[in-house]
Amino acid sequence: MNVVILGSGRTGNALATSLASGGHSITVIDRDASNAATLLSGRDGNQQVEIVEGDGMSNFTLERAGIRDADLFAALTGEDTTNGLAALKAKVIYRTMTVIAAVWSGDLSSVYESMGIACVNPGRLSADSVLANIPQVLQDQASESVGE
Amino acid sequence: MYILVMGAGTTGLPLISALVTAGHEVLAIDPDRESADAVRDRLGNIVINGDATTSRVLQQAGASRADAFIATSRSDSDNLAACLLARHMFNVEQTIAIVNKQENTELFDQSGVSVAVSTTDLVLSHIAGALPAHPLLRLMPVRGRGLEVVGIKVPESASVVGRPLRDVQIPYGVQLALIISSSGRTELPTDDTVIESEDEVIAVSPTESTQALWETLTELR
Repeated sequence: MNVVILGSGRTGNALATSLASGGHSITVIDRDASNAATLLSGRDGNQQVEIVEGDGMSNFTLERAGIRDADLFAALTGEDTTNGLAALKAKVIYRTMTVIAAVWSGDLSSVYESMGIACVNPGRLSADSVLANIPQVLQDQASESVGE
Repeated sequence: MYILVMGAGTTGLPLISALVTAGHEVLAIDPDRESADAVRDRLGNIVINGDATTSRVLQQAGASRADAFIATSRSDSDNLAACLLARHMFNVEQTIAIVNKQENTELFDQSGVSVAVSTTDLVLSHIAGALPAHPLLRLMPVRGRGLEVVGIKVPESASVVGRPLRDVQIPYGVQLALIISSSGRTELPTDDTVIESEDEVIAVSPTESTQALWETLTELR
């Protein structure tokens, strides 16, 4: 599978590493290539990761990263509207099959979702996994005290 | 009309002022305090200091009763997000955006933004009229039909000069609408019309055929 990831932050890098170890061909776009450097130096199993430095909202950079042949595009910068524009471009202009964007705002998520983008809310996901690790007893106590 | 304008910067502020002068009810939205203050100083309390890419601020601005939303910030991604929110969540009929980067115009159009204005295209369309080296003038897109109205100036040494239209291979789907001579005389084109040098040909053309039309009319002998 050909994967293009926008944003070489923690999420983008973790996703790139996981997918690359699964044998997929990965290209990571970031304004600053040094953010992605750990992807190359970290382990020797990561030859499939390619790094493209540039503005991930520009056609030039997306095309350089191979968006035309991508099966999956994931926009994972820290900016909702940047992720939204890049994801819509992948979906609408380049007809990428699967497009995912990290979007913190619930309102923007529902708009982008209605246009065929799968949105994930990093804040919500973290909170949910923290919640899942709180023992049920404590959660029950908490909801009782809220009820009072 | 009730019009919301996102961004009170170099494009937004004069626009807001012009809309107010034209008698519209206008509310400006800008996240930058100084820009918001500039509106208040000049035009009164018709500004919200906030982020128009959030539904909270759009709600506060009364977006659901707005007739039009105009995005003029310097960020294309914010302009697109705000237009989409205004349209999808508040049913604003007319969403208009300034597109800072010309290549994004197509995305705005296809995402359902009613009018996407590229400043580069605007400047080009003005320059093109003045420069003989660029005799193609895109006058107006015909929305939703894949057509555009174009003006093409026939160069002095073009191969079509002196030939009647029946001998000229006009691309399929193109409708020649008017021919304006260099002296300003206008003529409705027929098969017998002879093209002269410096004629301006106005045509309705499928966007994909415009280039071929331009080549036909400007190809040199």
